[in-house]
Amino acid sequence: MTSDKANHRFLLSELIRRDFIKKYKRTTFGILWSALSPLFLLLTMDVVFGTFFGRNMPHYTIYLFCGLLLFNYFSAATRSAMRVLYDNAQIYSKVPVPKHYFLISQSVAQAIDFAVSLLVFFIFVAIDGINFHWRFLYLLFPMVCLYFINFGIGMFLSTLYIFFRDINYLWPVVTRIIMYASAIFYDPSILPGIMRRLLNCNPLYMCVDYFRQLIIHSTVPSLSTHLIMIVMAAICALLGWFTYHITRDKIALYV
Amino acid sequence: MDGNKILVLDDVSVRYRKQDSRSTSDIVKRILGKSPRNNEFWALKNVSFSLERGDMLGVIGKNGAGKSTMMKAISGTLTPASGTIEKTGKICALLELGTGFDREMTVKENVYLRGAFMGYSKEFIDSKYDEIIDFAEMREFQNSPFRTLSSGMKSRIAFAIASMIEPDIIILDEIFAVGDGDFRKKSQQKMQSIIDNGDTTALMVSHSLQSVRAQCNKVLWLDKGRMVMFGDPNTVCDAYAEYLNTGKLPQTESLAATQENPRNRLKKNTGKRLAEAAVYLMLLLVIIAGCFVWSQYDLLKSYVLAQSLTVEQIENEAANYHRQIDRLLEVDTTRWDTGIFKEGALDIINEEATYTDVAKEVLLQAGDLSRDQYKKALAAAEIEAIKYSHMARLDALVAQMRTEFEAQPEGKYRSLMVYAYTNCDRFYDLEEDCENDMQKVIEEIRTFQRKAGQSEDLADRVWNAYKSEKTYLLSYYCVKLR
Repeated sequence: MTSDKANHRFLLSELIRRDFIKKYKRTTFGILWSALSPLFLLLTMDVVFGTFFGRNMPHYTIYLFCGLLLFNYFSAATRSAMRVLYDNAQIYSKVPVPKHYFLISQSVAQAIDFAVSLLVFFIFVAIDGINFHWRFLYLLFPMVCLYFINFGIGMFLSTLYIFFRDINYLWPVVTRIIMYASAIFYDPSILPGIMRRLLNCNPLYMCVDYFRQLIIHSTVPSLSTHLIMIVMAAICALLGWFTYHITRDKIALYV
Repeated sequence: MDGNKILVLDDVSVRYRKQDSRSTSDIVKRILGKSPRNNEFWALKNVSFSLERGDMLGVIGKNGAGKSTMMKAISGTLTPASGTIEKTGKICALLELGTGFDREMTVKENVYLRGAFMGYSKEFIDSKYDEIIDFAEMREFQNSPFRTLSSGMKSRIAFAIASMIEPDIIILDEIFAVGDGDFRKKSQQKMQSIIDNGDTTALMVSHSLQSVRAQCNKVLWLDKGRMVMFGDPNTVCDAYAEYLNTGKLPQTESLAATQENPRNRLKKNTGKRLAEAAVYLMLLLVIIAGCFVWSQYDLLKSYVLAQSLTVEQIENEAANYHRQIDRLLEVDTTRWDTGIFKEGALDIINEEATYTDVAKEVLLQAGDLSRDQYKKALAAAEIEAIKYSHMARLDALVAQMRTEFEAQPEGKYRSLMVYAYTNCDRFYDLEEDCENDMQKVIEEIRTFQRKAGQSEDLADRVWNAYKSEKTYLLSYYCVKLR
């Protein structure tokens, strides 16, 4: 028998390829949508909110884009992950394959999607006259954290979706709340003190704030911020894995 | 596992749910303990047997006997509720032909995907691909999406993959019922050659006793999830044929060993799974506990800091920063909520807290501060405290004066003082019209003092206090005037 590890990698790469191809199958623009959809949203929001909040804030477009970029990744990744176990049921109920491979491949496909919109983001950063700095490498940190947050929450939702379809209607509501709680288009300093403290419990806001501090103010957040983010990402990932782990044998009976 | 045993089932039971989905009210009932767990159904009960390399097992039984369930459990798509299945090597299961593919992907992509699912490497599938596509006679369709294929084509490609990539165990669930005559013949021949080869263990479900007798060397008879007989094809098939005629099950040993509710038996799998789950749960709890400690870290830090300083030190430090306070407030309150200072100041006035407590609150509010920032915050808190302590004292005073004023209506000057105080904030803001108001008040004071035969310098002092924006001095004179 050939080495199992290499074969697993092959399986994963096949799945990732499949997920990514399927995403834009039968579209004219294909992968361009990864760049176009956040762009359209950005322009709309910039026009609408720029007049309210943009007046006394430098680089408001970038400020907004930081929030939108990460929030879009979060919402798209969790929304599509939610259906993964359900949609692939016809495969894993007939072919023995560990179910979490589908979740992993889906999360990687979404990350690739995110990377494309990240390119557009950096083009905007350059246009806005912000100088690139080696410190921008620090941005990998919130991205990795966000990946694990999305992966964990996606896994959690996907498992739950098998048992409670209600999640399908509940999650968009929660996503909307998270959007408002991430200070995407407003300055959090307009909030009263207690709300601002609550904002810091939102892992997505932490990531957004990290991006803004680095890109707009070119300061690296404190060590404690890093540690909190690691802990938050670990909690999300473990929560997802834990939920999946205790229910994975039952999933085949419910789909 | 013994050297030759390639597949061993030990006391395997599979449980299904009868209803498709449970509603919320069912869950509530379950939680309240009002609904018994009657939603379950044992599709397979206490099945044990083993196969050696090269064996060909035929599985017979009526519809709903658990044949397909057993195949699913062996292939690994279903996990048994209890019991263990030990298997060596790669398994290829043809459960329902043509299923388990991705409808949107092309035939070629599906072949690679299926190969990957079964744990083969890219190189291996590369080397087998032509053979598979030719066997299935699908070369011209290799780039069409899978959903466009006919069901016969789907079956052909599925069988082609299964037979070409030489699995160690192959599971065939009534697969020869589909496909056209030519392909059926071809696939049966292929199957026979695989079996004759002696390397592959095959399990097949069939309703044709004739083909079972011809092809298999072992036969398993299932009935309602129970194992009736396992052994030599002719013996089992004869007994089964008799059962089909008479409708009476033979009383066999294995049937007697079956339990009505297999859950009572030892669940090796579940124990292990629970242990793993417990480990994950503990890890999760540790992280949550860590988070909690971390969230209280700022409080702990400020507490330690506050303990290391005496009250005098803090007050001295506050005094040192006193002079710079306007600038500091301007710089730093952009980050801090001044409300917290006010609350803290009121606490100090009510003697429920010290400056240190306020500072702790400030630290909590502002997140992680350096020692320097801490001092600044402390000083800011103190200034606010001084300001607001005067305000609070004045509040008390005004209340008192008002009561007295109502008791002695003749004291007109008192009402003026009340007026002076209540407009204190406006005076402090040094607005133009306030100055006129204040001058009126001063005039009243002068008149009053002249009448009372007192010296008039008090009025001047009040005026000076007002001019130099010393609100609390102003309030002090208000008190004196009483």
